[in-house]
Amino acid sequence: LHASARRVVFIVIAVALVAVSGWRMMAHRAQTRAVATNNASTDPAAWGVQRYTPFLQYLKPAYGVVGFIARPASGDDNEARGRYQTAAYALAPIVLARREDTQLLIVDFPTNDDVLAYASAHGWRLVWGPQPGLALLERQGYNPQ
Amino acid sequence: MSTGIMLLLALTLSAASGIAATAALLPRRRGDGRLAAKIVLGTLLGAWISSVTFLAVLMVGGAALGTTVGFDVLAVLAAVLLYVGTRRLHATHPPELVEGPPRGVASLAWLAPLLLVAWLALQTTLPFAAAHPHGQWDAWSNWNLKARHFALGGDRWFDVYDPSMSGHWHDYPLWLPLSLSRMWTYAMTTDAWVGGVLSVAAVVMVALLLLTGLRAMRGMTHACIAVIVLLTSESLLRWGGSQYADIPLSMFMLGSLIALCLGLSDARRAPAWWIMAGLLAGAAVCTKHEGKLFCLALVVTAGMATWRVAGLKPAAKRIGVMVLAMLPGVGITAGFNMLIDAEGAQFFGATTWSMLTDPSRHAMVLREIGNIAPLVFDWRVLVVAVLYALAAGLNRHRSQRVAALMCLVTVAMLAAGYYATVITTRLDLYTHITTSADRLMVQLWSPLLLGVFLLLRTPEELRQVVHEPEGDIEQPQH
Repeated sequence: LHASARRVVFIVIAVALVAVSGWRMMAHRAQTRAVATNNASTDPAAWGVQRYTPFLQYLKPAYGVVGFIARPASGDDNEARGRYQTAAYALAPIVLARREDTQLLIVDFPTNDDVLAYASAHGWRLVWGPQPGLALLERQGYNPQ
Repeated sequence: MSTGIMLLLALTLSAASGIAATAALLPRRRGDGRLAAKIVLGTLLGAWISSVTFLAVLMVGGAALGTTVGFDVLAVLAAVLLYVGTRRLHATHPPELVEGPPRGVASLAWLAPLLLVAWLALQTTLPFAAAHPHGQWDAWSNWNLKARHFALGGDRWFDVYDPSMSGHWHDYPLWLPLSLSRMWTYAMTTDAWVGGVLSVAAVVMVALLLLTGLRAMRGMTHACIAVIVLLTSESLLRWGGSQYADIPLSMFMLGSLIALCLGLSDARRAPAWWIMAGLLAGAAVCTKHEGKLFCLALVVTAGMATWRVAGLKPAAKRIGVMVLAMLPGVGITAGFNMLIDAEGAQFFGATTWSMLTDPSRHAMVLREIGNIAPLVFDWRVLVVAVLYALAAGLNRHRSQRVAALMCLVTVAMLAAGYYATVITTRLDLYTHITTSADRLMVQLWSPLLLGVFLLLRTPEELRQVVHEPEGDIEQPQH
């Protein structure tokens, strides 16, 4: 009888464990979805489209494939994160710089001199900027139509 | 060919090489209840093998679909040949009776709540992954950016380690970028969602490992309840959708521990289980820096556990075998660090002692751990889980109790190592602890549950009030 009673208690607690887990999962789901929605405002696709669409409309006919290089100035703030993520949305910088069909690089947040120095050393010429927030680099020897 | 079919091919070839290699190491025995665990462990091993073959692909000329498929097919063929060769060897041994896990129709009833919770977990982690298509901060910067270079960089894939890109933590190990890059190569695209698939797949693998591993040792009821508790961790689901390397690391650590736990009660195949554990621990080294600490802890705890169960001499042999199996992962990581001229972590410096003895640093770390812990371990679930443990009592199988202690001591050693690393960090302490504490705790969550649920008696065993098993272990050799 003792063993049976113990087993019943055990099963009851196990069922309670499942019930509490399910309840907490529902709460987590709601909470995580809220976080996800908030973070979506810094979604790189949204950033990239919003920030560069005017440039692309102007530049693409002349340059064809346009690439982005983005790095944060400093710090851990949300704005820097959003800008930082733009690079992932666009393309990987060095690979992009190597691609022969890429004729123009938009360097976002060009306060890191090493990026500009690297691009310069790899055959890119500064055609505009650097201004706070933006620089344009053209492949050396390329003549825009 | 559609992207989906190509990704399926990538996963199939990866799993096939691992499952065939596992079958060669650990042939099937009817009735032992370990088949599902072996298939999941084999799939995990395949994830490690395919990342190594992709590294070979890069080294012979850069990512290319044809070469990648060719190398993967070669890996599958090599594993199948190994299986065919060892099958004859295994056939010479007489069949061995192995005790399977407790079974019962009632235990299958636990599948329903498990499936419900798993569905809720996916509903939690998938929107998070979708909101971060490129992964969160470290994910895209430290892992995905490199994966993109590997996939697109041709024979100059290693340019991503140019000093101008040093802000992207060059010394982070290679498994995650290699695996993502391999999937992108198969998919013939670098679409961001592929990274999300890989990330969520790691959560699914952790759940499947715990489910099948515990089912093989403790039966379905315990396995289902453990996975339900596992999935209640909010942090697990968030980081699972973030594309960080912490969940894959946890996956390899859990796989390694499960292989050892299964090996502790399987005297004849013990060396094979130790090889599996060593290979997966090596994969953990190739996934994240914490994997090195895991290997060290594992050598100590697995050595002690085997000594306790089988005696000193077998323990020394098996640890030797396990360390040899770790070597591919350790070697690849060491070679990579030499190539990029990594400085390595400096654990001991002039200020280390003053940091360790500074009470304010300990107070800050403990306070932040207290703040962050509820995200990892929901206290309401924990209260009921403690009641469950008290009602269950201790497992009577001696080898499984030893295996449980091995898991728990490994977790304790890792936790102590993480704590010491954070206390002596050269970075800003507050930033370091608030940005890493929950990820570090999530890494240990599934191994902790493995240890706890191994230590507890199951509902099925409560029926056995008179004839409880005394033990299922080898006789120690003195």
